Formats: sequence, structure tokens, C-alpha cells
Amino acid sequence: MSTPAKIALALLLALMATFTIGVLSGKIWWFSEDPPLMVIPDMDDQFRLKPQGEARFFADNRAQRDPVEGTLPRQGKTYPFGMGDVDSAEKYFAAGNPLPKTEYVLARGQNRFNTFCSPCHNYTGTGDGLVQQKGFGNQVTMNLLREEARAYSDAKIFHVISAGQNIMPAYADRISETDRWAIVHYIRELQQKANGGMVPPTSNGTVSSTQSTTVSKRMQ
Amino acid sequence: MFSQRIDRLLKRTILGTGATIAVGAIVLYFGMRNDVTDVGYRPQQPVPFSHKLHVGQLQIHCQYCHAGVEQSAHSPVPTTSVCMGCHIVIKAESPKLQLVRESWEKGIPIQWRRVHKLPDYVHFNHARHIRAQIDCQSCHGNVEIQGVIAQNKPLSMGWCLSCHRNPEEHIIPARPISGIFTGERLPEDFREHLFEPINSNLVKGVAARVRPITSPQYGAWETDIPTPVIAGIPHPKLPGYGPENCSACHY
Repeated sequence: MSTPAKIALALLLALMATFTIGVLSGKIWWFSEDPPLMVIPDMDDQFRLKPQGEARFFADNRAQRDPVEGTLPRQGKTYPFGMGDVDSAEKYFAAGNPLPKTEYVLARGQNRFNTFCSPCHNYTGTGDGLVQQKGFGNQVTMNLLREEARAYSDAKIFHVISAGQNIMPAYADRISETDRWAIVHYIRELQQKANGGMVPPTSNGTVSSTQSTTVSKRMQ
Repeated sequence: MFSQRIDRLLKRTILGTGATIAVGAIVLYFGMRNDVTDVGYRPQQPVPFSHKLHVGQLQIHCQYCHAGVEQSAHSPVPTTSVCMGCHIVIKAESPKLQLVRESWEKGIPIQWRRVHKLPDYVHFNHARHIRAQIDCQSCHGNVEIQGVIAQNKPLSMGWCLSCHRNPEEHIIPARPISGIFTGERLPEDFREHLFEPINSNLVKGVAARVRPITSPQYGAWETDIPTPVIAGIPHPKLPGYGPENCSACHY
């Protein structure tokens, strides 16, 4: 074998070794649009329906069937009021927030608020979240700390989260009832902090006029 | 016995066959591992949804769309109504969202292609892992930088067990962006550290302190978790050793 051939062979072997080590150690990897190769399929795919899966048996190909009409959830309740039905909601939840305002509940409220509300309302409730800034254009996200919102009853805040308002969609299907009340506690705390530590005017649905005026004076 | 030529041919044939079998075995053994066949599976989805835009730039938390992962074994792909919650206003005319609008109007589900798939003879419970404050990133990789989602981890049995046995070496604790409830408030400056673990030493601390009560395969260990205070709030648990009992994962 001539010297150049030897060098070429050595280089080739070195390249192959590097590649093999790279693949085995996970440093080299590549993307594929083809489904993974099944060498020994065993019972990897069994004849059964999976959540959000496909079922050719049904005309619409959905494995997940809609519940029969009138079905009630085993946990919690479906939210009974529509978007505009604030008055009924306020009457129904007149007792106010059923959760105690403990540190644990507030932590949960912060967690759910950051997850579901902060994209638009921002982490502080000021209504300038990143989705609002980059997406909504001339649509306005409400500032949760404004005077009008501070005067809302707990029941009304709960209703707005559950059923939506203006362009805000309803969140009753994604946030549980307990978590929504925890969010209400957390929003109250944000309002209180923004208002210089003053206790929000209400916690049980009624706002006395003297309290509202004090709030507005403080704001000026 | 044979002529020299035949003898040489015979020797070469035996050697060649042996070498081929050896190389083939090595290629099959290493090449058919999940980290070669499965990792990097990146199917094109019917709607060009970008996690890089929605999570990386807009900082929408994982659980905003994948809500219910705290309660459910299956991490749900969001319904069309979740997409339309914003896209009824934002980019309402975009041709990329044509399929979403059609699905919304006619009630036909979008046929997303499944990326992460376990064999049907094992079960994986998302809720259990989320409530043990294990971040999504531990298994799904850096979703916030991926335009199209690809499988990032092999999801093989050895890989699962490596975490169950040595959690402190593999698990990434909850990050604020995942929306995982830790039972405590976030630190004041969490907005600058959205994509970093809230308590990066959590798993190490727990693993060092907490030892299994029973044999490790039953997965019971001493903890100082308070009992659930409020009914209806999924109480977080501490991350620790996972069970190694066969029936913990296999049906």
C-alpha cells in the first residue's frame, strides 16, 4: 500500500470512529420527519382508544366522545352564568370568597394568576403583558388595579374570570373553582399593594359610598 | 488437504463472515437504541405552531394551554377554543391559521401529530410528576427554543430508571415558566429568571435528606410534607426517588 493511501485510510477510520462515538454519546443527532423505526414492535401499539386519539369506528374519527346531554361533572360544577349575567352571579356568590386568605392560598393564587392571567394582564395586573404589547394592537387589556376594578365585588371578579368579559374568553373550563377563588384573593392583594397597602373596599359584595370616595381621594 | 488457493479462500470466507456478523451485531445493538431511532423525531404539524414564539418570546406558561396536566395522566393538547381565545383578535386573517378557524367553525378537531409516544404496555402519569415539582424540561428538553417540537429524550426504560434511581443527577426542578405549583410564592425577582429553576438545589437537598422508608421499589419515603390544607388545590409533593417496582409503570 502506498503512503497516501495509508494516510487516507487512517483519516477515514478516524472519521468513522469520531462519528460513532458522537452518535453513541448523544453529541451528534439529527431530525427526521419519519415516525421512529420500530425494530421489535412487541405490543407497542395495542388495540385501544387513547385520550385525544383517533378512532375510525366513529364517523367523526374521535376516540373521545362528548358526554351525554345533562351530564354533571364528578368534581366541581359547571359555571351556570353567561358573560353578561353579572347580577345573577353577584347574587349567587353574595357570600364572597369561601377560601381563607392564607399564605398558601395566596401562593396558589399567584401561581394560577401568573399562568393564566399574566400573558395579557402582566404579572402585576397592570394590563400590559407581553401578549397585549405584541399582539393586541388597539385592543385594550384592562388594568386590574384601576379604581373601578378595585370597587368590584369578589363575586364580580370571580364571574369575569369564569365567564369572560369583552374580548377576554371564559376560563371556567381551565381553572378550577377553588383556584379561581384563590386568584380573586391574589388580585385583591395586588390591588392592595398598588394602593399603598390600603385594604380594598370590599370582600363581601357591597361597597359603601364612603369607602369608594376614600379610595378615589387616595388615587388623586 | 486442499490446494493452497482453496485453503486461502476458505480462511478468508470464514474471517469475512465473522467480521460481517460482528459489525452487524454492533450496528444493530447500538443503532436500534431509542436514542438513535426516536430522538430527533420532528414531524411537521398541520398548523405551523411555534413554541419558540409562544413560550420563548411571549412567555406564555406551559400550563396556559396544557391546562389539566396537574390532575390528569395525559397532558392535554389544547382545544381549538384555547387557540381562538387570542387568535379571534390576533392575526385573525392569517392564512397559517386557516385550519384553526375551520376547526373552530365546524367543530372538527385538528389532527396534530403525536411526537412523544410510549409503548402501550406502560403508563406514564403526568400529574404525579408535575406535582412532584419535576419540570417539563426534564423530559421534553428546551421547548422554548424549538420552532417545531422534536423528541428530545429517548423515553426508554433505562432512561426512566436512571431518574428514578438518581433523581439528583437528572431532574430539573420546577421553573416559573412551567406554571408548576411549589406551595410557596415565587421570589421577588422571578421575572428575570423565568426560564431557570426556582430552587435549583431542591432535588439534591431532598435526595440527600430523604431516604426511602420501605425497600426502594415501593417508592415510599419519609417527608415533611404538610397535609393538604385546602381541598381542591393539588398539593405539591417533594421530588425524590421514584419507584422501581415493575408494576409502577407496566400494566
